[in-house]
Amino acid sequence: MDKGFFIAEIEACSEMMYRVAWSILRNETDVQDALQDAALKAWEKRSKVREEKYFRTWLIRILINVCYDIQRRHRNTVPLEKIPAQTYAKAPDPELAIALRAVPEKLRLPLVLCYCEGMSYEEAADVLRIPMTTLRGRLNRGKDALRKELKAE
Amino acid sequence: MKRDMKEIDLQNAFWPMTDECHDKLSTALSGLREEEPVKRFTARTVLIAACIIVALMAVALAAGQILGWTDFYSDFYNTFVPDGAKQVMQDNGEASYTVGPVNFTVGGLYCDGHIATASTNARLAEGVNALLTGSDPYDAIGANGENGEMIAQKLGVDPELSWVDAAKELKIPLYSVRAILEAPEEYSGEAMEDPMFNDDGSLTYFSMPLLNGKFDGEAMEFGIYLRVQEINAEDPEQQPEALKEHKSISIPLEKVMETKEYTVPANLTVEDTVRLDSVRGDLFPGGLYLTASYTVLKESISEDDAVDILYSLEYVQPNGDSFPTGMSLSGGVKDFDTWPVVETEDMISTNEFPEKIGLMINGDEDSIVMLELKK
Repeated sequence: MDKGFFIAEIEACSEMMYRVAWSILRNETDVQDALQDAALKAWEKRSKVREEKYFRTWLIRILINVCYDIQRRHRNTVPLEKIPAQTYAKAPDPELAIALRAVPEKLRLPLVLCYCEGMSYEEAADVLRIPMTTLRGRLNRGKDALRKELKAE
Repeated sequence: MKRDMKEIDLQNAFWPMTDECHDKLSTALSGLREEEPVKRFTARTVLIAACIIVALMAVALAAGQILGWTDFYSDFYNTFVPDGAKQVMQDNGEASYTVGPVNFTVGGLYCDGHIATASTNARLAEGVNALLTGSDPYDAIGANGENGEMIAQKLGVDPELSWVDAAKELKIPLYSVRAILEAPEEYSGEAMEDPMFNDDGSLTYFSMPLLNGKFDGEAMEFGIYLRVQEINAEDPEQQPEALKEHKSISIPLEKVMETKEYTVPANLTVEDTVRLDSVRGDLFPGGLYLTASYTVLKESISEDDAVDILYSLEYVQPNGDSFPTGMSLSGGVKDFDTWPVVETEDMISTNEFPEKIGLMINGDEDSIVMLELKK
């Protein structure tokens, strides 16, 4: 994979990466670190991409791992901080942003991958390394949880 | 307000990427080079919390001392290199190479099929007046903790300065080096690399590839990748071509010295989900590898959930204290190929088998289950 293709792909995926990272992490600094780290890791491991058409799912898998690393690091060092309310105000639909954040992460990520980023069930299951049946279950529970949160507001 | 899921566009729950984030990503992308991939630990397999506070640890450095693995593990991870491994490293000797203005001495060589190590002293050739770094040249010198601060003090520059800015301030060239031990592809996994700075201006570059334990020959053939780049401090976009050398080095394989089993209480289950079936210890000169076999009892559980449970388990001493971290600095699930039987591998630093090992669940000292060495 040449550098030009790689950079173009990362740039094309950057907004998606930003949203996925925010689905896991809780502050802008960590999200920025995650994107940077994921891009560098992907570059280092670029020889492992089976085919260029799988680049997007492969990249998101790397990003999710990087986010978990950052999350785990915080778990071991400092208490997790809350997202300031004004952060949500930047979203086109702040109410939805708050409701989505209230959905447990395990359910939130499948929702974001499938219903926000348009991944197929197969792709999302591959990215999350979970069986398809588990993914479907989490999507259903995720939708229920999101509905409840929206009703509660 | 009730809202129908069909009306919901989840993209509206997110805001556009900030300019700052975009700039940071662009900077990272502009720095990509078409060269050997850098390998780093993936923290997913690394369970040792100490790994993440490396830069904050103090480094005591006696004048004239060249740092080696013993310093690396004691200063950064509060653990030690077992005597057997120290002897092996000494017996395996050193090899010297010169790449441009830098002399490399590769030592600290050890390989047991699970890990391999090399610590390389990089030193500017006689008469070359320059700065030498193994860190990112645009990182602050002080980013390497007290070790970096010590070097900044020696150089008489602010530790907040980057290596590039320090070179500008001192009006001397800057060389960036790497020295990586490369395992054959079929046996290699993740890897760790990290520099430490010596007070004589040289540096020690630590490299440790993790191996898959499948090699069983007498000696493993490794590559040593040596790279030297003079950094153009004035224009980051116009960097001279790096000098690169690939050398070969053979490291004898340390065989397991002894294998013993630990007794496991019958039907020891964690969260009614995984059952511990056996724990085996393989003693090597570099320490003790503990391989535990678990059976996942619930059909519905995912690999991730099983991993969460297994990661909540920790081997501890009978009094609840942690064992000294093993040289591999890592541990966790080996693979899922034999699901629902899952094996974990962890390493502790020791010269002998502990008579008793505690298995602590979720960091709760009241939950420790004792495993005794089988006679």
